[in-house]
Amino acid sequence: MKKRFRREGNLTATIAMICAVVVLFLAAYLLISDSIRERAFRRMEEGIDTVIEEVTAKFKRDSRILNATAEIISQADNFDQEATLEIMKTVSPLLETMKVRVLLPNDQVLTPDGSVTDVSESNFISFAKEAPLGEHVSNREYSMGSSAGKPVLRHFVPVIQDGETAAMLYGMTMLEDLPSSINIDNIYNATASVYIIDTHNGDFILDTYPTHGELGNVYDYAMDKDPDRKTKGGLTWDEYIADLINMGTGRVIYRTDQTDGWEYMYYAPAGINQWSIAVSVPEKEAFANVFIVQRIFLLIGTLMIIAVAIYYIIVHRQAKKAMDSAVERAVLEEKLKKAEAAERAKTTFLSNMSHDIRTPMNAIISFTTLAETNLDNRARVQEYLAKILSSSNHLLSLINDVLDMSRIESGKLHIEEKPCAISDIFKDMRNIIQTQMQAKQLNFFMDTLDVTDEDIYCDKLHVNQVLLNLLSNAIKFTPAGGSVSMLIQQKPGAPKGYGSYEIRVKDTGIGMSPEFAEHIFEPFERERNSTVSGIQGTGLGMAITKSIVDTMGGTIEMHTEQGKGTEFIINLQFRLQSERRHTEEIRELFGMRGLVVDDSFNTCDSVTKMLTQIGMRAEWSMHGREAVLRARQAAEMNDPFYTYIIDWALPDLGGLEVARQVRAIAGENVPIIILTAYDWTVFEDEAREAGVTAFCNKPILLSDLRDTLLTAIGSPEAPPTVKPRPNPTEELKGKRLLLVEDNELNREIGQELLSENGFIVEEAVDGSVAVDMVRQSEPGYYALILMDVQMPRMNGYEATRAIRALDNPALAHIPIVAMTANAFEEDKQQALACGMDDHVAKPINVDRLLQVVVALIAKNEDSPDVKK
Amino acid sequence: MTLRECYDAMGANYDEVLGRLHSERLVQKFVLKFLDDGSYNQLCDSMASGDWDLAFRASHTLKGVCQNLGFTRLGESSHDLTEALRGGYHQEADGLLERVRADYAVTSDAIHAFRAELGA
Repeated sequence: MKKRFRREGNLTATIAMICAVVVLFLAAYLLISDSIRERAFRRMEEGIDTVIEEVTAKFKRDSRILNATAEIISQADNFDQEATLEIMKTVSPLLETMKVRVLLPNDQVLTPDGSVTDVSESNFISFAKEAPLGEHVSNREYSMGSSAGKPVLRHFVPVIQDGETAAMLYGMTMLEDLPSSINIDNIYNATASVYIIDTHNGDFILDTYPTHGELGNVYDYAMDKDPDRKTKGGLTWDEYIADLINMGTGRVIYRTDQTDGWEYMYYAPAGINQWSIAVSVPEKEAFANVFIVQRIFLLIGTLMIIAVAIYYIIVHRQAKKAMDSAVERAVLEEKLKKAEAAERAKTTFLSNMSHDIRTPMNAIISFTTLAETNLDNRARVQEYLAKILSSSNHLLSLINDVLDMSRIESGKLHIEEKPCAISDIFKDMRNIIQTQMQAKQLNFFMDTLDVTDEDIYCDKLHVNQVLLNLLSNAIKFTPAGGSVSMLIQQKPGAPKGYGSYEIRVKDTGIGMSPEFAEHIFEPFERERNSTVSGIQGTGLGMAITKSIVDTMGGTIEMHTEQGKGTEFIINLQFRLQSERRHTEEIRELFGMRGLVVDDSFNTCDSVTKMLTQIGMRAEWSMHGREAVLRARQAAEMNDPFYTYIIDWALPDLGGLEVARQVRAIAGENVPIIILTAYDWTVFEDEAREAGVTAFCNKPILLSDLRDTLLTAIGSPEAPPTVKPRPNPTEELKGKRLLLVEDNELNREIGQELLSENGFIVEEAVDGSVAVDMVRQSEPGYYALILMDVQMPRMNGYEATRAIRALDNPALAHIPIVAMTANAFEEDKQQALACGMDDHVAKPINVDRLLQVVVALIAKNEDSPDVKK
Repeated sequence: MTLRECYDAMGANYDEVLGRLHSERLVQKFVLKFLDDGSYNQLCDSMASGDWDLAFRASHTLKGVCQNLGFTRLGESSHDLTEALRGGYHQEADGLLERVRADYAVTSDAIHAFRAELGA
């Protein structure tokens, strides 16, 4: 069943089936109705035959009676009127069709009731003329005549006495009475019509059709080719006439403009005088039964069709349901396959974590190496260390997110909005990415446009993750000598308290094929062509990026062209920090001229706008030589530039050369600031020799420019330089820590590290030992507990909970720091949930550890709980 | 053999550990002590006896020690094994254990060599 309906066009099949049934049905119906019709016809014809027989029989009987009566009367010796009357009285009631009269020789008519009338006053007058007494009249059966205008059949029988006609017996039959005498009305509900035709001349002797007027002539009628006269089924009109003449029997189905529909007519010889008798019945009457049968058939047929249709609909629905469930099963199978494939891809991905991790890792390694080669430059080393720290933190958080894929996919990404400066974002990018850019010999530009609100609330970690992903992809897919650029533009139209930012990351790399570009944001997609498949990737980076952007409520789109490059455009809205930091103007520079020299118009545009905000008259040039000329001109016109902001990477002259020449023109006091996207420490010495006062990173933000200018002019408003971290050893001498760690080697390492920094360290090998030691200690004995998390018997969380449950509040509130190899969000949450104050990640990082410990001890000492 | 050379031979990161612990004397002391650390033996025994829970903790501890000492290569393989055992036995664990054995052998040999030269 299913298969039959699976084929296309099962609707056609259904229709075909219905048609076949209908055809069969019609055929059956036609056959049956034909046979019924035949039967009805037969019945009618038999009925009429019977009728005709009956009538002729009656005639014949009556005529025999008449004959016999004449015999009897003539057997008397003399014609006896009295006796004749007696005989007539006896005979009259025996006659079924006739009325009898006796014509007497004295022209008087004797009726059976005994009255005698003169022939002239009776309706025998014509008869008398026809058969005068005295003449031998042959026995003429059934001649036509009329009595009072109505057709009658007449039968004459002479009474012969002594060879002479003594009287005439006259039997008269009113033709009109015929049909009722044979009960024809009863048979056909008074709708039957009887015709008697004299075939000699075609005259109608009897025509009982209701609307017919005078008696017509059938031969005349036939000659007159009436166009409204039609026949069907049986004989044609002409055939009927021909048959009439031959005294035949047959049926004619006809209609005329006089008839009400078709008439079924059956004709046969009347058996009398070459007369033909016909009976016609309206079709409706004749075949009333047939019509009933027809209607029944119609009803049954319709019901059958409906039944068949319903049947097929039901079957079709079932088939459809079966198909639907088959389709459903197929869909589920497909889903299962997809899920399995996704699972496999995830496993592969997890074991191939690569690029996203290696990028900041490389930064860490390269800055560490740099620090090594610059050990005697404390300031530089401190700066490198700061960069290493930021990269490391970034790396750790990145690992969290990348390993925690399933959380991102199920939409539980946590976006923590914290205060952040846009310049910090740029700094982070620069720190992490610039070595790679240089290593691959790529030109790297960072720019801002119209950024008036630099201080926002955002999840810097995730914003960095997104930008880093895009930048590292750009690096990956751009060959040496190409360029990568990042532009942050603040756009108008953000709601109050928010800023709209558009970030564009563009490269001149190999681009993507249109097919791949369609699926760029779907996980695990990798381009299949020889160039790209050689390039490492995780397949997840763009999916994570998009998820993060989506979660932040932003949009990301991509434009790419193979062979030309790719550009990503991200639109985000960030909440603005309410306070403007300080006024933008710098008093000392108010009204002074400033010159910006950079081969990027964007930069010239941004920086001149910023200088204007600071209160200067700002101009710009995109060429080094021109800048020098203008500087000279300005000096000659006694309106010299008081600030120069020069791009280090000027193509024609080089920023440093321009600085040198300009310094010669401008003198000692004028601040000359070099702008660069890269690390200026590389050329710092050379730059200072050329006369450069200060450096600024690209992209430059108003706050950065301000700070640099203030420092450069030696203003008291300049921000303080970064102070080195205070030496922790002095503060911490003598503080006792409890180190809880099950592995001996790790314990020893921890012990050494902490002792070196001035702590007294006691050890516990287990969680339960630690709890005991704390319980039995004096409050304030231990300043802090370092608790390893993964321990047998009692792990760190349990031990912490136990300590927090101690009766003595001072003991219960001892700061506890978790040492955990995992730094997942949920582990952090769990640590906090069981009462830990903070956590450090393993392997032990002394600086971080000291930070945390110092902070916690300090906080604890401020709180009144501690009894000293 | 210098301590740095020993580290290079082990596929370990000398600069890294020095950066954290600051003192070469300390690093040397702990490197030598590593040979006495029981987590590796515990790991092998528990893998053999099918005590997956203990195996997990042992490889986790071994990983922690390696991280502390900057033993990059051994740390990586013990990290992989730890992750494989995190949910109980995993079919990849056996292969990963072999890696750990190999890396541990290299590490241990280098330290032995270093120690031998010290004595001399």
